[in-house]
Amino acid sequence: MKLRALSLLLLLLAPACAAGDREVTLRFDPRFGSEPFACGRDFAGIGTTGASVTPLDFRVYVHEVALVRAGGERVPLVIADDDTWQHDGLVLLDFEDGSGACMTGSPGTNKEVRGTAPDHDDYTGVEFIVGVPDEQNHLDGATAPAPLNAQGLWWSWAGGYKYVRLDVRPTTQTEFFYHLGATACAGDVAQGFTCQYDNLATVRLDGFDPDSNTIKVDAAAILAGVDVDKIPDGMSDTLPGCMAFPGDPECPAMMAPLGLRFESDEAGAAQTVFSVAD
Amino acid sequence: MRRVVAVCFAMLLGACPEDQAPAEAPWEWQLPPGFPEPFVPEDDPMSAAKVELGRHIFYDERLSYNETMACATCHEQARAFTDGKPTPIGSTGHAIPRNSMSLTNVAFQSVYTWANPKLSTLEEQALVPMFADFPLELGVQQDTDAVVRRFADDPEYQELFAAAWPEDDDPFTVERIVQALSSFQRTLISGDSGYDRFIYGGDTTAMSESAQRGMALFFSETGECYHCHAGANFSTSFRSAGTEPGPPDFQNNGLYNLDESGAYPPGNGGLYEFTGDPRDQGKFRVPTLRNIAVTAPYMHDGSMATLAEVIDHYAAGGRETVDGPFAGDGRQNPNKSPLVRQVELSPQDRADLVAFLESLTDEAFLSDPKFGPP
Repeated sequence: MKLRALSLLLLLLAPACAAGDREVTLRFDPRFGSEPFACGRDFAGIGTTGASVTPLDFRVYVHEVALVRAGGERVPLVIADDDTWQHDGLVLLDFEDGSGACMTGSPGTNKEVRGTAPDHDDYTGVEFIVGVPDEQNHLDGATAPAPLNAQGLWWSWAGGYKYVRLDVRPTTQTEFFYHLGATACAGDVAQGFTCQYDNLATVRLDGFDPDSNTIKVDAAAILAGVDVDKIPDGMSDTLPGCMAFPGDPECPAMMAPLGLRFESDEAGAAQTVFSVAD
Repeated sequence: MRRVVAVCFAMLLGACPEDQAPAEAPWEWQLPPGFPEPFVPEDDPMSAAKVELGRHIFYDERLSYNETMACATCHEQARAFTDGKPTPIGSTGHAIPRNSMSLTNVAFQSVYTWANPKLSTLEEQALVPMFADFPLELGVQQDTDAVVRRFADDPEYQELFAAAWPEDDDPFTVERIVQALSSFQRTLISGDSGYDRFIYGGDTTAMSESAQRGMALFFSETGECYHCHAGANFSTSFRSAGTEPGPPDFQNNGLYNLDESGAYPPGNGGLYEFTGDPRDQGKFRVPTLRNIAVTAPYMHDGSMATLAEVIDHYAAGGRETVDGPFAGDGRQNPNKSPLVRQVELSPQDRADLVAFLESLTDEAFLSDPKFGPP
């Protein structure tokens, strides 16, 4: 414990002495298309039918955050533990504030990743992985440290966490779900798990200046390829939305926006959810 | 017996002279003959105070966000902790796709629920009904802090939590609730059926002639029932303090066959939902048969009303559904256990098997006040 604390301290100090460190705050900007995301209001033009929806929840885990220098060098951001949103390199982006229909969430919000990096003046890109790393994904939900204590992101049946939760209420039904996480996992909490489909999405954004730019997160992009108004028939489709389980018909179209392929480890097309904004 | 007396004596001694609460006596299992000590996770040891708290919470509708549903809503003692419905409805109206499982001897299971290979403790399992989003059961996540506060603000619970965790400044947490529920459930041990009294108690009148013939058939190579319904708890899902659990066992018993790969009705694919492997379609955990006569309807989806129907199903080597959305010949399901195959059984044989299953009913378990509402 002491050793670990000491080495962490050294890690923090070492680069500081060498190149000089600076604080970096990555700011995220949640949206439905051009509109800022907010609980308690409706958003139009969603999905293949241009439906109207009210948000119920919108939260995203990210980890392995790095800045990218002009020459392509990847510089990991050292994430400071804050006992609430950031722990061990994992950060919870919590866009809902528990108001309106956002019943599954809580008042606290977090739209930032805070860390330190060497003070270079040529950072032109940012990279991160959407999801929870395997070694943290299967901790006991009742005792795991923040930000893994967010009950709405416990994925108890699948033995892990929801990496992304975007739930909305269309006009035709009470819920339309998007729960992304690792699936086809084997193992147990004590021994650890291995998952056939990690469903971790690596996002790389170029033309990004951490001081002046924000990172837009577009909920509408996740829903762009599906009909949120469609009520499941109970046979070919058993629930509204995608919960990443085998054969869930909405999943291919709802995982593609993150650059993922459903039930495959291969990368999909370029992601469309995150983009650089001024 | 001697040890019990000694403990009682020690408790008395402790209580009288100093007139202060005695340190709680170590937990003692009251196990029926033939039962090993259950597995208990190291970080959730048994105590009488936790069991008592867990019993209160188990029966308390305030555990659901909208205060309409307790654990006991779907797990009624008189029905061996099932609910008599094919499938239940969650607190906000979601249809639950699977039949409420009996909690009889739940401490001895190696995995929990109908088909989840990953839930290996009651502590992990409890989070599913409490926090699942779809289908939503208790819906605690709709405001976890408020639900926990209901217990923290109740003077009776303040005492119960303090007794369970005397050292703990703030025991009002999800973790503690889950631990208390798990401790209570581990006490739900049933081993005083007619079968037990006949086998272990030497009471030759405890099973009818018919039940005895049924038992012989059950344990025979004709019946083949005992391969899956094995051991003290009549299930391949078994662990105890002294036995490591084997790999979790899931079996397809030929109820459905919707396509050439043996698909089951949507939303009820069994192990397949976790592994994504089509060969796991229709594979479910083997449930205990103890108290099975009071837990109708049967199967993962409650699609069989009576034990006679269940016996007919196994004698036929599976079920054929002639028409409707689930049409198909379950007997030909490619994933079906080879032990489920057509077998010649006379009407008397079938009645005998039902009589044997009825001899597994433990009346004391179904009415013991220590498992009932506080």
